[in-house]
Amino acid sequence: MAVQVTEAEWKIMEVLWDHAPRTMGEITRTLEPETGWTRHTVITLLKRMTEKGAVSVDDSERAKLYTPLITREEASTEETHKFLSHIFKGKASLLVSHLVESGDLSEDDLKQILDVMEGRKK
Amino acid sequence: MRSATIYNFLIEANIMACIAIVLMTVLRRFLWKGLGNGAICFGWFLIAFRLLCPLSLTNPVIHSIRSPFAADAAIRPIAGQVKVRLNDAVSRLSDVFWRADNMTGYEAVTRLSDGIQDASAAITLAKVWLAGVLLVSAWFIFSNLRFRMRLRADRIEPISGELKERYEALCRERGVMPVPVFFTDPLPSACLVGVFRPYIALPLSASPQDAIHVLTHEICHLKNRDHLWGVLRLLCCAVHWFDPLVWLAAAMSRTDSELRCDDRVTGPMDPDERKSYAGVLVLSAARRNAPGLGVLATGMTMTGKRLKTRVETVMRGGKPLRWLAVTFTVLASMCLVGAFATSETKEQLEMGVPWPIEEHYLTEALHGNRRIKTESDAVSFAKEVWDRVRGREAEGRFEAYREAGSWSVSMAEGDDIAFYLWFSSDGVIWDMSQDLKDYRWVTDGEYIESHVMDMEELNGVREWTVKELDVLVPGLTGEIRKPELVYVRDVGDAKFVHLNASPKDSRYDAGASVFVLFRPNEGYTLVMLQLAGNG
Repeated sequence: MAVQVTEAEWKIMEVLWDHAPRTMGEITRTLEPETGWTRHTVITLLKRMTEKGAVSVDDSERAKLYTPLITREEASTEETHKFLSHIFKGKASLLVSHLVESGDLSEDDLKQILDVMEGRKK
Repeated sequence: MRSATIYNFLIEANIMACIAIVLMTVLRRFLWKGLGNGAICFGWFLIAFRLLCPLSLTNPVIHSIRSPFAADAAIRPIAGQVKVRLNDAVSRLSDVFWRADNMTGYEAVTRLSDGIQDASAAITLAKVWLAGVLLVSAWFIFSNLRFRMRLRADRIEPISGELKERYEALCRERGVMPVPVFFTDPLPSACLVGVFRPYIALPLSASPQDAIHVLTHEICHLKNRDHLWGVLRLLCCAVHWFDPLVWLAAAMSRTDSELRCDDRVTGPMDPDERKSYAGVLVLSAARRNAPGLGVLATGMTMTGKRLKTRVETVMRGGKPLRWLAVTFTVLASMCLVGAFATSETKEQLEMGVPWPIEEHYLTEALHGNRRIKTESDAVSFAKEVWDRVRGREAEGRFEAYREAGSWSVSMAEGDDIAFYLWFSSDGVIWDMSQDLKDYRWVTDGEYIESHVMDMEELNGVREWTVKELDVLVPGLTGEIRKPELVYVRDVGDAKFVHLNASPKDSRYDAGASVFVLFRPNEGYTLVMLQLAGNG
C-alpha cells in the first residue's frame, strides 16, 4: 500500500534522501533554520513516519539512525496521484491537455510523453 | 407545547428571514465595497436572531390580514394565511384528481385537507420537524467530535520561543486574551477551534513569516467571537434544516466573517505586507480541504472566484463608506423589530375569533358511498334529502357551493332560505336545517320551555329519530348512543324537541344534535340535524 507523506514529513524525507542514515539531532539541526522546529516536533514526526512505514529506525547504536523506506520517485508518484485526483479527478489526460492549452507543454515535451507511453505499452 | 406554537414560530421566522436573506444577497453583491464586511456581518447576525428567537411583538395592523377561515386564535395571522392558502391549493388539487377520476389521489389529498383542517397534519409535521432537528444536530455533533479528535491526534506541540512571544505581543496589541496555539500536522489551514475553551491549530508546514499572518488572522476571529458565531450558525441550520436559504446564508456569513478578518489584519499593512498575506491565502487554497460548514472551526481556505475576490480586496485595501454602513445598520435594526411584530392585540383576538375549530367531530367516523362530483350532483342529492324530510316537492331555487371536500346547498323560496344542507362529497350529511320561518317561535321566545315530556311520546320521538337518521346518514346510529332529551318547547299543540345523542367513542367532542317537531295528530318532522358541532 502506498505511503502518504504530509507536507511537514516531506521536509524530513528531503533531508534523508539527500543523505541517509541520519540521527534525529542531525535532522533537527538541518531543518531548524528553515522551519524553526524543536527536537520534540522532529521526534513526533519521525515516530509517525516510522509507524506508517516511510522511514526505518536502527536503534542498535547509542543514537537512533533513520533511513527512508520510500524513494523520492515513489513519494512523488503518490503526490501526483493525489494532486490529479484533487484537481483533475484522477485523469492524467486532463492535466496534459491543461498544460498544452496553457502553453506549459511544448510539442517536443508532448512527443516525449507520447514516446514514453508507447514504450510502456510495448 | 402546542403544534400551533411551533407552526407560528417556524412560518414567521422563515418568511421574514428568507426575505432578509434575499435582500442581503443582493446588497452583498452590489454594495459590498461600500458597506464593508463589518456591516454585512451585522446583517447576518440580525437574521440569525430572527431565526432563533420565538418572540412575537404586538402589532395592531396585523389583524387586517387574518383570514376569516383561520379561526383558531392560537394560529397568528401570517401563519393562518399560509394555512389557508395551503388548504386552497390542496382543495384545487383534490378537484384535479376528482375530475381525472383518480380516486386514490383524491382520497389521499382529501385526507391531507382534513388533516390541515383538524390540525392533525400540523402535529405530524411538527414531529417530522423535530426529528429533522435532532438528526441534523446529531450530525453536527458527530462532525465536530470527529474533527476535534482528528486534530488532537495530529497535534504536535504548542508553539514556543520567538513565535510564541510574537503571538502574545499581537494579542496584547489587539486587546485579546491569548488562547493556546498548537502546531498540527497534517492541517491544510489554520483554524480557531472550540467554543468554551478555544485554541488555534497552526499547520506545522507554515513558515515562520506565514505563521504570523495566520495567527493575526485567527486572533481577529477570536476578537470577533467568531467561534460563538459558529454555534449560532449551526443552531440556525439545525432548527431550520428544511430551508435551503438558511443553509446558503450560513455559508455566506461564514465567508463574510473570513473577509472581515482579512480587513482587520490588512488594515494597518503596507503593500508588501499585503502581498505576503495574499500569498498565504493562495497557498492555503492549493491545499483545499477547509473544515466543512458543520464544523465549529474557522478556516482560511477559499478557492475559485471567491479567492480571486479575496485577494483583490486584500491588495486594494480601502475602507467602507461610513454613512452607508451606519444607514444600513440603523435600517436593518428597525426591520428586525418589524420582523417580530406578528401578534394581534388581546382585544382583537377576543373580538375576531369565533369558537375554535380543532375539535373532533363525528363526521370523521362516517363514510358515504355517493360520488357527488358536480353542482348538479349536489343539487340532486339535496333534493332527495328535501323529499325525505319535507315530504313535498321543492318549489324553490337550489344553489350549490363547493368547499374543501364538501358541498353546501341552499334552497330559496322567494327571498328566504327554506332549506340548507351541508354534506361531504361522498354523501354524508353534516348539517341540515329547514327554514325556521315556519318555526319562528323557536327563536322568538313565544313558547314554553319544558323539560318534561310524556315517556311514551318521548320514546316515540326517539325511535322515529333513530329510524330517520339511519336512512339519512347511513352508519350514524352505529356511532351514537340513544338520543337523550335536552329540552322541549311547547307551542300550542306542537312540541319542539331537542335531542342529543353522544358519540360512543369518547374521542369525538360532539355527537348528533337533532331537532324534531312533533304534532301528536300529524307525526314528526326533522327540523335540524347537526353532526359538525353541538346544536
